[in-house]
Amino acid sequence: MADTPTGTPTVAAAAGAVDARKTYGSGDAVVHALDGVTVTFELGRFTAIMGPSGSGKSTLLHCLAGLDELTSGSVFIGDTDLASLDDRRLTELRRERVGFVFQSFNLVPTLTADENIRLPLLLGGRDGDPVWIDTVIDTVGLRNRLTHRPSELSGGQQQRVAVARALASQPTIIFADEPTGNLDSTTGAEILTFMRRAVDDFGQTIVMVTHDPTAASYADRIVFLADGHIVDEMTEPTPDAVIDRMKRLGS
Amino acid sequence: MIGLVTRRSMRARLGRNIFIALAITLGVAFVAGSFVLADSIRTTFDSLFSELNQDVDLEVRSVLATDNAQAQRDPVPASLADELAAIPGVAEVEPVLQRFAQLLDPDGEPVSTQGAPAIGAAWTGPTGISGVTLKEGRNPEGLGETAIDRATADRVGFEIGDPIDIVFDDGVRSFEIVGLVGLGSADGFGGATVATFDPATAREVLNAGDTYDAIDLRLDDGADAAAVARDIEALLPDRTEVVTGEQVAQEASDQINQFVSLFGNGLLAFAFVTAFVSAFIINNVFGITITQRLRELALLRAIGANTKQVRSMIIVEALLISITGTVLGLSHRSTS
Repeated sequence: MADTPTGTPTVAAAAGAVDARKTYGSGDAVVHALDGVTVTFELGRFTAIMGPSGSGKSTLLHCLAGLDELTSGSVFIGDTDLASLDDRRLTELRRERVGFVFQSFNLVPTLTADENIRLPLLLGGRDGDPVWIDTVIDTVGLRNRLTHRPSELSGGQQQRVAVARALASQPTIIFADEPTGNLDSTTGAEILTFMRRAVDDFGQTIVMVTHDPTAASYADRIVFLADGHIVDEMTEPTPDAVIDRMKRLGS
Repeated sequence: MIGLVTRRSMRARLGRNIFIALAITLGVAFVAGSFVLADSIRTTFDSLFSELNQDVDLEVRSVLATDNAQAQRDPVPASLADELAAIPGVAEVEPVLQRFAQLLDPDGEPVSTQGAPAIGAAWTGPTGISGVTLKEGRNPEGLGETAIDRATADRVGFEIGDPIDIVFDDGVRSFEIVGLVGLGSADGFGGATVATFDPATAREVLNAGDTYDAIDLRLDDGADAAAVARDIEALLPDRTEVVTGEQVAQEASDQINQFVSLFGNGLLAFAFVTAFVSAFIINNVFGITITQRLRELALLRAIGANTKQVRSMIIVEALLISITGTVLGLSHRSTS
C-alpha cells in the first residue's frame, strides 16, 4: 500500500481525496470501486491517473469532479468539501471552478465551436474574459473553425474545442477522462501538447485519466491505481518507464 | 443561453417536431371540429324552426298520448280549420300536414337527399303563415299541381312546367311543377326535398283522410292571444290542445338538439380517441427524443447547466410544439 495520507489538503492543492470509498451493490455482490484513496493534486501540475480496466480510475475522476458521490470519505476542490454542497452549488462549482474533457461526445452537436467553447460561461450568465478566450482559441488553432458545427469538425478538432472550452472559464482544475482515447496517435499527441502548454504557459492544473503510457508521459506525475487503491506513483515519467512500471503492476 | 440550445435543438429536429405538431394539430382540429359542427348544426336547425314558426301565434294540435315528447301526435279533424277561422281575433288559419314524398328525377330515379327527409306538405300559398315562400311561378292548386323547393329543382334540373313523378306511401302520382318555393330567403330546406300541395290535394295524395297534423293560426294585430286561446279551447274536441308558436318552435328545437347532441357526442368520442392516440404518439416520440439526447443533457449538466435550465429547455420545446399544434388545429377545425 503506497498511500501517503496527507490529511486536509494544503493551500497548494487544487483538489484531493481523503480516504475516498465508493462501493456498488451489497452483500456478496459488493464491489469496492474505490477502497480508501487518499491523494492530492497540486496547483499548476499535470497529473495522470493510470491503471488497468476496473481499477477505479474513472470512478475517482467522477467523484473528484462532483459528477458522482462517494460512499464515504471526502473530496475537495480547492478547500471546498464537495459533500457539503447541495446540487445547485455543486452545479455552480462545476461551472466555475472545474473544466471537463471527455473521451467522446464532448460537444453539444447543435452549437457551433465558438458557442461550445463559451457554453459553461454562458450557462452561468457570464461573458468571460474576451482577451483570455481569444488567447485560448489561438492556442488551440481554431480561429478559422469557430462557426463550424461539431459534425463538420474532425475528431482532433472536436477535442481541441473541448480543451478550449475547459480552459475558457479559467477553472481551478481540469479533469480529462481518456481525452485521446478516440484519436490516432498524431492527433492525440497534438491534444496532449495543448494540455501540456496549458499547464506550462498558463499555470493550469490538469488531472487526466488514461491507460496509454505515451499519453501519461506528458504528465508531471503519474498515480497508479489498482483494485481501488493507489499502488504506485512516478514523477517526470517517460513512456518506457511507464510501460515497465505497468508491466510490474500487471504481474 | 438555454434558449439558444433549445432553438438549435428544435431546428435540428425540425422534421420530427413538425410531425409532433401535426399529430397535435389533427387531434385538436378533430375535437374542435366536432364541437363546431354540432354547434353549427344546432344553430341551423334553431334558425330553421324559428323561421318556420315566426308568424305562428297559436297552434292547435292533439294532446300526446304518452309522455314521450318524440311520439307521433294523432291528427286533428280537418273540419276544425273552418271552425277556428270563425273565431274573433283569428286572422288566418293554415293547416299543417307533412308526410313522406319522394321525388323522382326525369329518369325515374329517386332524388337523393343525403339523409335529409323527403317531405310532402300542405301549403296555402305565398300569403300563408308558415315560413315557406314562393320563389317563382305560382302556388299549386288542385290535383296534379305541385311546387317544389328551388334548391332541389336547380340541383336536378327541373323547371316550371315540367312533369314530375312523386312516390307516396301508397304509390306513385304524376304532377306538373307550377311553382318553386324556398324557406324564407333561402332556396332550400337544409337539404330536404319538399313538394307542396294545396291543403285539400295534400290530404288526398298524402293519404291523410279528413285530418291534418295540426292547424297553425295567425291572430289579428293587437288581439289578446290568451283570450283567443280560451275561446278556441271552448270549441276544441277532447284530447286537443292549443299552444303558442314559440312553444312549438322550442319543442322542435329541443328534439333536434337531443339528436344533435347525440351525434356530436359520437363525433367527440372519435375525436377523443384521436387525441388519446396522438397523446401516446407524442409521449413516445418525446420519450425517444429525450433518450437520444440523454448524453447531450448529461454533458450540459456536467459542464454546469443546473437542473432548472435542462428542465426548462425540454419544457419550452414541448410547449412551443404543442402551442403551435393547438393553434394550427383550432384554425383548421373547419376543414377537418
